[in-house]
Amino acid sequence: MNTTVGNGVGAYLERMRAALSDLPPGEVADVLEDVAPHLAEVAAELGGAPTVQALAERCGEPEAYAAELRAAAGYPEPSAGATPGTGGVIAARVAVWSVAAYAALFLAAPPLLVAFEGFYGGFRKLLALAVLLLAGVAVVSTPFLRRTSAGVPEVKRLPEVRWALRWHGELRRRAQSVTSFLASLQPAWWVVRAVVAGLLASWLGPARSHVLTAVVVAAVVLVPSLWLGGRSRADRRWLWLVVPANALAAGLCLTVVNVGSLAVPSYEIGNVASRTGLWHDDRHVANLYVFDRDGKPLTDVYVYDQDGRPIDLPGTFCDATRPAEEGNQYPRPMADYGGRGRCHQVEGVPFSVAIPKSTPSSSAKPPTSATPEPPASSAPSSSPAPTTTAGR
Amino acid sequence: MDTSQLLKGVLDLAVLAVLREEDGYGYDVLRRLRKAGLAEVGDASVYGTLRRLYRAGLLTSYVVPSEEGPHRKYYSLNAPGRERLAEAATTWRVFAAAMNDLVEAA
Repeated sequence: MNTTVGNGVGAYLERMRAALSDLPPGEVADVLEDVAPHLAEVAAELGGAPTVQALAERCGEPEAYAAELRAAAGYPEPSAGATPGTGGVIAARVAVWSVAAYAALFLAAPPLLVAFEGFYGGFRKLLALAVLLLAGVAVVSTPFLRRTSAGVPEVKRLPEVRWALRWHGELRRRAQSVTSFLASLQPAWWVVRAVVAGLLASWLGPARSHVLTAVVVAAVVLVPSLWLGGRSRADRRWLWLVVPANALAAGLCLTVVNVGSLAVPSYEIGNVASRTGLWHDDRHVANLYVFDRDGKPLTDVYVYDQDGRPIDLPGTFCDATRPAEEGNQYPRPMADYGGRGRCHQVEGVPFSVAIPKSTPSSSAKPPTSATPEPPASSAPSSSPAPTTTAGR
Repeated sequence: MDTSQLLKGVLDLAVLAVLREEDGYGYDVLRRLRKAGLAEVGDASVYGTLRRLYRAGLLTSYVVPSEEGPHRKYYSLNAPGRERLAEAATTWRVFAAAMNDLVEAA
């Protein structure tokens, strides 16, 4: 937009932009669009390409001009006394990237947690963690809410931020109708995130009165949500808080949509359906090894459950032509593919155990009376099976 | 008496009034105000006021390219803006009448 105006005008506008840099970039651009034709007129009167000094003599210093405009427009005052540059590039960079990281984390965490842990167990824990993190962000961002004119221009000067703003501006120009439509939806989003906060509270809150908690919290959060929404449009300082909070709300939205489409019963179905085979303490059991009271491994043991049903597991063989057959005679034959693609048939017991010596004699006798008990033949001679208390 | 102090209270009304007949860009609005006799009106104040009225939803804006110099952002009154103008004008007339009576009596 400054291509046809003189350098002095461009420099004057740049200094105004810097003085207003705590405001949202869109608003600053709008302000400068009003001022640019004025300066162009003044420049023309001054003979084409005046210096900044010449313009300042006519219109006042850019900073004073910006201050007068700020007062008339009702923009928030930048805090007095802070000088640009004291914040430090490193602090600004840390702040920007931590906010970005928080935003990404908050967006991704809820759906991922639910996906990997199933809801309830992991989900509740994770949400509690997210709330803690959010509180952390609020604490970290507080200095930036107050210390605006020191921190914000510093942030604005970071190359990555300038690049992001340019990209955003470009996008805005190209898809004006889409972006203005999205902007018109903003108030609806302010309501949605309040509802999300209510849902979050009902998940984290006491098990009873979920609905009541959700409604009350949503109603309470709605007021600051609307206020903050309107506020952050004109006052960029709030972005420190608004961006991560929005990301969390968006992540929760994704999760809620996902969870809603699955509905609760499928949680049980999914979990039960996946539990084929033999499980112990949430771990899949592929084989059983049985020892007598002296720690001697037993072979050809038949295992049944409490109803007398055989506990069948498939055995596996290195010989690919041999079909896997199920049975309840343990240990099951097992093929081990561990060593560089070579398979070897596991013989004997592939680990060592220590049987407690002081077991009461009453527990020594196996209680299964229905089982046919062929006498334990001797373990294969090649087995390195440890006996008694050896090996630990 | 300092006119700029008086202007502060009525600048909203003045800006809405000059936009009633015809849309205008910032510098245009400023020129019309000065031409109307408000010589002391500050340019930054006018541009700030335009932004405030725009954000309050009383104005709409559109951009018109210009052959020489930067493009111009025109402001126009919308329905809420006209409503506000009518209200403010009524308030002003009552106020001005009262002030006139006071000053005439002095």
